[in-house]
Amino acid sequence: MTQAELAEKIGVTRQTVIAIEGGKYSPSLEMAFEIAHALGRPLDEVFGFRSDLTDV
Amino acid sequence: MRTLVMSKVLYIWSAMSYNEKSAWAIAGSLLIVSAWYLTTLANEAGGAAVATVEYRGLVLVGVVLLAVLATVTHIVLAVSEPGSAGVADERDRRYNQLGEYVGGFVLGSGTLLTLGLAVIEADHFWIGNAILAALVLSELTSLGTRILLYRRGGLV
Repeated sequence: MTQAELAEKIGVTRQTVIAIEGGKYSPSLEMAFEIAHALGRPLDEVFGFRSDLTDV
Repeated sequence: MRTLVMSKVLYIWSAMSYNEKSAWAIAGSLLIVSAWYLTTLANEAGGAAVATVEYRGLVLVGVVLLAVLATVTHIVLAVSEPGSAGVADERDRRYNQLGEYVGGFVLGSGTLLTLGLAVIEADHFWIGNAILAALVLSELTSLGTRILLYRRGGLV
């Protein structure tokens, strides 16, 4: 599935999909579920917690 | 070198979403009109006290100029990207909210400053221009925040 196809499926712009993929934007839980659903994968397989972004 | 920079700018521009381009367009229009307003004000004063300049007509012309510039740039954007014009997704809305939130602080500070000017019974030139500055600066802060989030990313 291309970024454009995924974007259309979940109703966002291609740039938003690129930003999520690049770790520049954290989607809402609802959108995260929509992405996982669109990709046919469980949520925890698509998204992972990055502790390096929260460690201070 | 110049061609390389231009092609890089064009590449970055083409990769932007409609809403980011829109933020750039409004910020650019605001900066152009503000520069025109300040330059005209300084020219009309011509060495005399700036508060003696009849600024109200200039403000009206500036508002019309801003509306025309913003409309023209958005027509061009909408024509070049017909599918995405006026459509905002979750990221656009969240960045917009954060931008408005940050801009609100500037607007609030400007309001207090204007209130102070009214309390000391300053000339209406300064009160009017303080309101104008608060509006323009808060909008620029809001747009700048949005652009920064689009460029650098924001885990909000």
